[in-house]
Amino acid sequence: MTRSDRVTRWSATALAAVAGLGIASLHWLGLVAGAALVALPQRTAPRGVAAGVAFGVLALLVAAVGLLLAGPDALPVALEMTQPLGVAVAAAVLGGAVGGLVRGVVG
Amino acid sequence: MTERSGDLTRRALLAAVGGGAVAGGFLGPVRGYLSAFAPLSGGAWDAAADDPPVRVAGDHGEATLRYDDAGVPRIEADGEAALSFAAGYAQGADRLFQMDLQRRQLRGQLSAVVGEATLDSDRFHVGMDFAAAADATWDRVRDTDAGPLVEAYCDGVNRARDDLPTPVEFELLDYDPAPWTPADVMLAEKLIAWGLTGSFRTLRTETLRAELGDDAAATLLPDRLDHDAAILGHEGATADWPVPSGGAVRPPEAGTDESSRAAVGTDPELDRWLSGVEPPAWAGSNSWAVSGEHTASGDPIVANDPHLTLMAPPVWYEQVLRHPEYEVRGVTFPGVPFVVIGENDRGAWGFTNAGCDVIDCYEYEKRADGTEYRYGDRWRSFDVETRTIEVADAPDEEVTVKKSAHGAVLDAGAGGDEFRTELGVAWTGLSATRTTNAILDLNRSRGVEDVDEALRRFDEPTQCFVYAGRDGSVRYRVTGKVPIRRTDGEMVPGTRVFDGSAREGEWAGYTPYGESSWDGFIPYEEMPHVDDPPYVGTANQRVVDDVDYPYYLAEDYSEPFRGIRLWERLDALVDRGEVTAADLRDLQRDVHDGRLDRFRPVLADARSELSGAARDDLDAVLEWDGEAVGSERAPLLFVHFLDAYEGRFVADALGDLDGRRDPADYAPTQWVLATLGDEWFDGGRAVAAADAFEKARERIDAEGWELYRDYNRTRIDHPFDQSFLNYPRYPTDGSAATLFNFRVEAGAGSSWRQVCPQNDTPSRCILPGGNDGNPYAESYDDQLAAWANGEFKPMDRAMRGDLAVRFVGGEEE
Repeated sequence: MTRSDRVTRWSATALAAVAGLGIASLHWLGLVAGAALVALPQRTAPRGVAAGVAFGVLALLVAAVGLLLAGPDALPVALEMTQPLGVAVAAAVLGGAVGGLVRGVVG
Repeated sequence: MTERSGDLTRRALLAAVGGGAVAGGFLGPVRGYLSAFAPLSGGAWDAAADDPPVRVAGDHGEATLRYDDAGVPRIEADGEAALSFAAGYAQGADRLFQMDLQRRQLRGQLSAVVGEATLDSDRFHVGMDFAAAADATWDRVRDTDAGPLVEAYCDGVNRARDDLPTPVEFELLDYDPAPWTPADVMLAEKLIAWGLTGSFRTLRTETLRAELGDDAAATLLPDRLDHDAAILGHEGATADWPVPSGGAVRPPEAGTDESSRAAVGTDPELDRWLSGVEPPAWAGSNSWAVSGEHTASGDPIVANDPHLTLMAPPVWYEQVLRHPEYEVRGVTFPGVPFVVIGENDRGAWGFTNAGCDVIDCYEYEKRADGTEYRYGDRWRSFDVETRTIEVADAPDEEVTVKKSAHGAVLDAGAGGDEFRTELGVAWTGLSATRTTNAILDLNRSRGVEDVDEALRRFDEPTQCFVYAGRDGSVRYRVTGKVPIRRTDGEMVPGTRVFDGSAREGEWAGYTPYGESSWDGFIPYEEMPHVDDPPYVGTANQRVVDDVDYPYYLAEDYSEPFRGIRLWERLDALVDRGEVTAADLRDLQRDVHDGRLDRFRPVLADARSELSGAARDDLDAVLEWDGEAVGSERAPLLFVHFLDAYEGRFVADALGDLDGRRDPADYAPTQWVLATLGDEWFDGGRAVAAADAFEKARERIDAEGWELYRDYNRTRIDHPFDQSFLNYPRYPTDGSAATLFNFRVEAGAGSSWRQVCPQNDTPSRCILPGGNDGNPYAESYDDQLAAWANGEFKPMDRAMRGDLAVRFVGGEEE
């Protein structure tokens, strides 16, 4: 993989994001694994962590869309669930950051 | 450090941080939270999309399940097993957590998921061994025609449990529900029966007699209230009821039994425990039926609104079942297959609590360190078993389940002084019962003869059953088995704790945790009833005047405020003639609070002790018309005055009770409270009433309430009391004493309203909340605003709505 090639990098990131969302829908560890996948194509370790966090936020947005599609009342109810929602946001952001660290490990 | 080694160190550090964070996620409570709440995979979010699969294969034949706009399942099948399977599927999809929580309550398993807060409840329910009573009941039902339908229903619940996401509450508590069993269905019956007939009033009366004397006890907790609004014997309505000769010797009047031993108080600890787990005394209801003789259409109309706990989701689940031979719509308790209150294509029915005494307490002479008790001229060993109550986040608790010839034996582990510390408890529900069969037969009924026959098997709870049929028939009957107590062969009332060793107050033919015969119970034909009355009204008031009836029926009845008002309004409607369903819906919305007239002398007394704005407020209450509507201030003042006045009475008159007791548990009814004179209050009644009125005003000012609707608002909450699970608040009318029943402080009231004309006019109904127990769903609370406004929705039985599930497979019946 050539990280310096923008098209290749973005393509790999998009592919990684789709695969990551798939894994994250099976198990919470998928948030970390997905973040790691999107982090790997990035040019630097800090960008890898940022991509991981962005993946976590993407997972939150996809979950919100899923709730919107489930019914008109589902998302408003979920937004009222203060503590569970806090866990969800923390899991997405922290899980994304932790996964993003992989970019710094593999070099 | 070289650049390479520094890089390696940095990578190792990042790997350690990442690995540590992931490892941390797998450890301790974090793992549970992540499994439940992580975005995309968390089970708590899965429940938002709980649409069932469009096709479900099973073993019970073809059926279709549709949901209408109010989330009411409409199920059609050619076979009853398929119908039951689909009903189980719908209830499992919509109410599984509620079903499991109620099952846990009665099995004494709440602490396993909730923690130590529910240990008292678990100790009681394990001690009563409701689970064994449910097992005995299922043994009796299993081989009847209801047995296979109950099994099919359980299959349906369990299929939904397998097919659909776990309800969000299970994720919050982090456990999975066990399969639903036929014994659980029977347990649901025990739950409601205990809620309507379980009462330890006898203990409170005896304690009051022991502490304050016979006269005080008779004044504060009288067996009968002085009114003329009994259900049977009402002129022009139920006067022609068949008074049984019974061939029975009339029992001595309650409270005059010369053989009574001196009253003994119950140990405060035992009393506290039992009061804490006892069902609320207010569980009541309204129902009435007007025959075609007095209706505009010439066909009868029946109405019912049971008053139970208002909770999220509601205590009732609405369903429509269509079979080639019958179609039925109404409500059932989640966990029960058949419609309990509702209507089929031949008639409609409802229930109110009859208040019959079907529970007794016994004490024993013991020996051998309390392991044996004398029973007549023999000594018997208590049946003893040790059970474990699992407690979340705390050590398990070992409890002893003890039984005697009478039933459960309860003690609070209290040290004995002069008080009674252990009690045998006999309750009709501890025996095997056939109510499931009776309810199934009501669903299937093709006319009033079937209804009459079905009620023979309605063993529990004791209820006032009201029916109106398309053939013009009207029925009123007290259901359930009511024991006849005998001491030395003579009938005695069940108004005191019996000496079980002397075999006082025995129920012949009663077998706790087994099958009882009818031998020791009031014969079915002689239970209070009337066929085809011109009209009938029930509101938990006295069923019949004791002088007219040859058996002891009840220790006490509810306060008659609603009963008096009901007769007053029904009499007026019938006198006017041409009664319509709309008239009877208006009657369900009646908000006249009869307590005002009862307390008018007390309020008038207080007037001389008040001045200024307080007196102006009091005058406004005295001039108020008694209509408990939200736009008035007078009802706000009045209901808070009642609370404060009762508090003042408890402090003044009951403060001398043993200090370990909560004197409020021994407070009289408001019907009695209104008649108590100066001698019960420090400084006299007028001073007490004025003081209570001032306190009421202070509270209202402190809360910032202006009108009744500022206070009288729905507060219907989920057991978890989380904002996203609780229902929204709406102002409503009515009070604890009005037909339009709402008890804001107790969180109770009309848990279902139905008005069913027996012609082609559609019946109408409403639930206080919504039919779907999934908080993400639109139908979670979609009926609440209409309920609070006194509105109704159509109660038709058409198979409309989008097809949700097609059930296929298995043999047709």
